[in-house]
Amino acid sequence: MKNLPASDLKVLLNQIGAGDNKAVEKVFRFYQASIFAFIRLRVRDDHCAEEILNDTFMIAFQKPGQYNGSAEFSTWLCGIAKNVCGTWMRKHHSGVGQLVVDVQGDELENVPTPDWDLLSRLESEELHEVMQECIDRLPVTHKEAFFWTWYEEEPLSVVAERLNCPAGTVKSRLFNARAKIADCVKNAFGIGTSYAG
Amino acid sequence: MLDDRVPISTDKERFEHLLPFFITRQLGADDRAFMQDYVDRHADVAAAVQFAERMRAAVKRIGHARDPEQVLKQISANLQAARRFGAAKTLLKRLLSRCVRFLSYFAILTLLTKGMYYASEKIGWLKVDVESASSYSNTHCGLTLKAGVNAAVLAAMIQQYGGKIVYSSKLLDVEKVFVNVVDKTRLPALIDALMDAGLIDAAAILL
Repeated sequence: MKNLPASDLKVLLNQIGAGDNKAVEKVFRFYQASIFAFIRLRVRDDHCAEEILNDTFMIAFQKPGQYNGSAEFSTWLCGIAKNVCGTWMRKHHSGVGQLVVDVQGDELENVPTPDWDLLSRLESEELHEVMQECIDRLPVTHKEAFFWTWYEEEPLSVVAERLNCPAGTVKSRLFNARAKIADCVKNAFGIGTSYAG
Repeated sequence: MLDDRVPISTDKERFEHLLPFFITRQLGADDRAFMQDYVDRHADVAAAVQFAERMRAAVKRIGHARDPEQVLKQISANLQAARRFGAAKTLLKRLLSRCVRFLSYFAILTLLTKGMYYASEKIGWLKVDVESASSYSNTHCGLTLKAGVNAAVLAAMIQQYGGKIVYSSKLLDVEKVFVNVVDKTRLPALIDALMDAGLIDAAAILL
């Protein structure tokens, strides 16, 4: 995730601490899209994600002095977002919290290689939405791997560091998640499950 | 079947594992060269690459249609409210602290006053001889008068020596007066004069 230069960020955080609204806008605009995507991959609902985004930035902006610069600011924000998501899900356990864990991580192990060729022929306008829905059904660990790999476009070593797991696990998660999504898309379009692997 | 717990044994598996990073151009030189070579040699993997690209696009599109301004407005409003609330809280805290301090001082003062009152009135530690202070503090001698003495003559005589009667008492027909004189050295002369005039029976100089 891109970050503001450390010196600029320090000044902006000091200004935020002093009640400067312009600084709030600047920091928010810079980080909001990434943090929203990070949150949205954890909760399925856009509206909930917006609320959590709001809470995350409120926490960060109310006590900007708590950021000590030992990690990147984006990492700090993601940590806050993760905690807020956890709290939020506990509060709304019967709602979105349940939706998030449709697929258990174990179920994604040892998935056969899908027929990518069949999938590539799908030219529906709905494909995007279906794919989004299928991504939503993945466990959080796999969605987080997607976030760092494809949204933030980090290299493998960084993704492994972010997810706090070996590089092999990241690769495995990414493949298994892709295979599961392919399966989900095929089911959605009534193609059936034919594997080439 | 792919599993990270076993080493990658085939080029196909290596391709599948590296594909997500190949499409984001985040591979090292060796892996990138391998992937490029693999794609060039296997026309059938184009579909896999294409599908991965679509998935990546789906991930990249998350939240692209939303309007962040609403959240920003809400955050700004919430922050302002929080600051106002914080300022009011600080003020209230300060007032409370001052109030508590005032009450503490007041309580200490009350306790001290009560203590002093108790010490002086109940225990008598600070008590002074009130009687002598109020009635006889300035009395320098006590005179026992003879029966039937003219008080006016007595007073006039005492006045001649710079004194005055400050107190008198009568008990069982014995009348006593207490006299205060400006110059104590004149007391013996006064007593002698009163004795000579037959006005007093006895005199006592008070220390």
